[in-house]
Amino acid sequence: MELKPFKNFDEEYAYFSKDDFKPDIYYAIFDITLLLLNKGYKIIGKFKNKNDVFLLISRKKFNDEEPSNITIVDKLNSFYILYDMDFYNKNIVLAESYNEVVKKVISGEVDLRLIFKEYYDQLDQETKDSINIVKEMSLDTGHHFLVSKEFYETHQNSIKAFIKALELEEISEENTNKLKIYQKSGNIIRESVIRSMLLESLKDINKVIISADTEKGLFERICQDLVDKSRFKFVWVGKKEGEFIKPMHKCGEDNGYVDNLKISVRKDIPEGRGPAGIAYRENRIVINENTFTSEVMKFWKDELLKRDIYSSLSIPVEKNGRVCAVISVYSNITFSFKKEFMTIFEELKKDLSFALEKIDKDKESIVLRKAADDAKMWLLITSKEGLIEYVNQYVLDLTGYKKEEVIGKSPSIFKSEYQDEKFYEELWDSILSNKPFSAIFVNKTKNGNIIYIDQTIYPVVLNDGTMKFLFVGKDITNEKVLSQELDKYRFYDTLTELPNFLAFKFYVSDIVENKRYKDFALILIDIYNMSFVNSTYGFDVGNEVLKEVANILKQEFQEGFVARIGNDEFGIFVPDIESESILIYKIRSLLDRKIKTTKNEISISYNVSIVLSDVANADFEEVYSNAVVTLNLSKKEGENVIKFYESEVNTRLQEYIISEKLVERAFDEGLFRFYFQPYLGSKDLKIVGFESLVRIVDKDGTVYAPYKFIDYLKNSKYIMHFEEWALKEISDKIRIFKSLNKDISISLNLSAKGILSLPDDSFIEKLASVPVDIQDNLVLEITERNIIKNIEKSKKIFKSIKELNKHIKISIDDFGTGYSSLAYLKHLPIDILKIDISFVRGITTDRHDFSIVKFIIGLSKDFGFKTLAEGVETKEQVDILSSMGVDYFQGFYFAKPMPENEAIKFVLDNMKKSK
Amino acid sequence: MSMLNCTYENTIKALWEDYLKTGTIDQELLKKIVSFEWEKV
Repeated sequence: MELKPFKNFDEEYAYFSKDDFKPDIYYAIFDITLLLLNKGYKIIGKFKNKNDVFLLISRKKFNDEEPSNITIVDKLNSFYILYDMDFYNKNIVLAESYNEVVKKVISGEVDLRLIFKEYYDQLDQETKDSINIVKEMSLDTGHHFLVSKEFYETHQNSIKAFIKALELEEISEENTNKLKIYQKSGNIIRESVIRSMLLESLKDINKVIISADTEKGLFERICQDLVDKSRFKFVWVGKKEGEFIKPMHKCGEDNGYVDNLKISVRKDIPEGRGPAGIAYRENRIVINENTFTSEVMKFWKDELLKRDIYSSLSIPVEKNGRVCAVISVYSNITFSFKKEFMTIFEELKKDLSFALEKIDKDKESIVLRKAADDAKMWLLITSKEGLIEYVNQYVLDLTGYKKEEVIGKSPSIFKSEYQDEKFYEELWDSILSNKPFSAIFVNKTKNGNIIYIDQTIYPVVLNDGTMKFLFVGKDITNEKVLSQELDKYRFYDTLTELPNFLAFKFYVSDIVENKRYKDFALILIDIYNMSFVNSTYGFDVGNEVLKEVANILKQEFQEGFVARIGNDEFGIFVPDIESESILIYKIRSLLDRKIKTTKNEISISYNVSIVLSDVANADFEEVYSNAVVTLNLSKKEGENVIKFYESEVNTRLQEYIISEKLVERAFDEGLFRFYFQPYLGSKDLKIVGFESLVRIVDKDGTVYAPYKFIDYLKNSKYIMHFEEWALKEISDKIRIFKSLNKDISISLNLSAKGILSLPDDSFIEKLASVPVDIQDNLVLEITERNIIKNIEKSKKIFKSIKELNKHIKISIDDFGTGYSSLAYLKHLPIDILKIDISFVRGITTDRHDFSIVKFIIGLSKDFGFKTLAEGVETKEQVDILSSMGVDYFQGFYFAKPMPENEAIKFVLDNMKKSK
Repeated sequence: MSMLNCTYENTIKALWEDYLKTGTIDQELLKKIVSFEWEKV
């Protein structure tokens, strides 16, 4: 006889779950026993001593380790055993069959397993050898014979006989109740295990959701996960196409089921009344707990049962509030999807919707990101702190940096030296106040090459309030280089490669009008003899000269701006000039040299005009025309003239230049002369001596007074030569005058209108070289002002002079103007006090002057000094001074300063008169 | 017994009916019923 048993427990369970499946009599395992009890069946008995015996087994080598997981088949009694052994808190792995359970243990996939003893008994020896029995457990229950209520009531007697024939053990009411307790406990454990398994699946699915970046990828992976990691037979995802739901993805063993599916979204046809159709239409999860019994599965039941599918689940997936797909999951276990797990399925539904929406959003940002990455534009994003968070490939390609070299750095990594701090300050001011900033940035590549980026920086505030800066720019280096090339032709002189007049005008205008420099000079240089050079040596040489001059000027005025502004004219803008004299010196030293050409060395002559910033207008045209006018004036004065644009302010400077030239020429041509003004004894009007006064006497007879050159001379390099010359000249003159009158003294003026403010050690050395007999007739004049500036030093110097020769006389010039206390005079070895001309002049009209002069004369007598009245011009003054007791007169009343020959004549005449 | 190709649930019934008819239990059949029960899992 052939029996046709249920294919497996699930089929059996599914069958018995149907309300209308009611065999009269049945021999049932534990789970089915309980199912039948719920249907009103009655247990008539079980075989004596035939309880369910379970073995807890491990693989052979699994010793005393704490087991972390256990595998069981999905049966209530197994769950009850777990409950009874307190094992339900272990990680529980459900297996399809005992065969699978054994495989998992032997492979080490799980630590422990629970199997029926009967199953173990029929295993082959090899398998048994690889297994270790940890524990044997017996339930006081097992397989039962059950009969339906109706059958029991109508067949009581025959049932009794049947029990007897089989020697069945009757089950008391109490034991039946115990079974129910087993069921309850087992069910609790089962549910919690399945719940946690579903949650575990959900977790896996969430991982997929996070990482999926396309809808297709998401569904494919979810299908795969549900089949691989959960115990589902197959899964498919369908989307609406017309009025049908077409499967788009599937996974698992569907044996052709999915491909032949016909599911509609319409309610009025059977194909539309299945779980997927309802799920789609009504946007709700539809559970098929038992294919046998489920109303919604009617249309597909046969096909599903062929494939042992006893339960299924259809989940609608929403996107932006509308159902866009349905996921259907199939299990060959009845009650895989129970209504109790609905919250988990709802969670899954929500997660899937989120995932789809996220993918759409990501898709947008992925597209943007891709666009940004590949854009042929300069794109860079920084944090609010200005640290780079993103750069696109274009930036990296252009600058030669690697991504890791710029991320986290400031964009100043690209900064060149061409833009000043002010530029960057403006930038930050703008973007920090939320305004975009646009400019051409002169950037630098990793190799130091300059690139020009026409860039705008946008401050961007994100939804969460964070601020970012977006730098968007275009590389305009090529355009810039090209335009610079063009500028070269427009603004450059091709011969000298200097900027031309137009460039000079733009440059200087910008500086002058925007007052970029405080002190500057605008210089125009005209090469005076260019036409001579051209006609004598040829234009090629002339061009060489111009090129060489250009090179020299460019070299020397690197900090300035040199341009060729005309055929033979150069314009120079010099910022931050140190001093006018250095500027003149520089120009002269450049242009006075011979200009080297290939074959010759050519001297050039030139004219120069200079406009200084202190007299310059804030307008280029004005400044330039002043320079041109001044250049023309310079040309009128002849070759090699440097002329400053004059205003009142720089007249002094012009004088300085005149002085300089005068002094230079005086030395070169020996034009220094002493003039002599006599001073006479007040009583006899006999000549006592001369004050020597320096003059420059030009060859044409022009006499230059000291004020024309003395300021320059005192501060120039010529002062040492002058001292030497003066002492020698004085010595010569003393010898001459001494030959006429041995008592005549000559005074050398060391005061402001003389040479030195105070004689110094080097002067005393020079003085020592003067013959002693000449020294005897020497008077050194020093102004009171210079003495009181440094009395101690004066004292020391005067002492040295007197030590050298006590006959050298010391005279204090301009006395009375220093307003000093006369007390200090007492300690100085002074011979003569010269009363200043200003007092002498007022002596007849001003009581105050009268009193001062009288006082000075009186005091001098007390101290033993001689007094000399300067600037005596009238008879009246002579009389008053005589009455006051002054010792000597000097002034126009007696004689003006005169040249040597006249002085000699004056001596001779005086001597005659005195006789 | 004419129970060839009977489904399992009907087999138990058949066993029962056979017993009522003959007063004996078909031990072979019983063994099969009992053994199949655990093989299903």
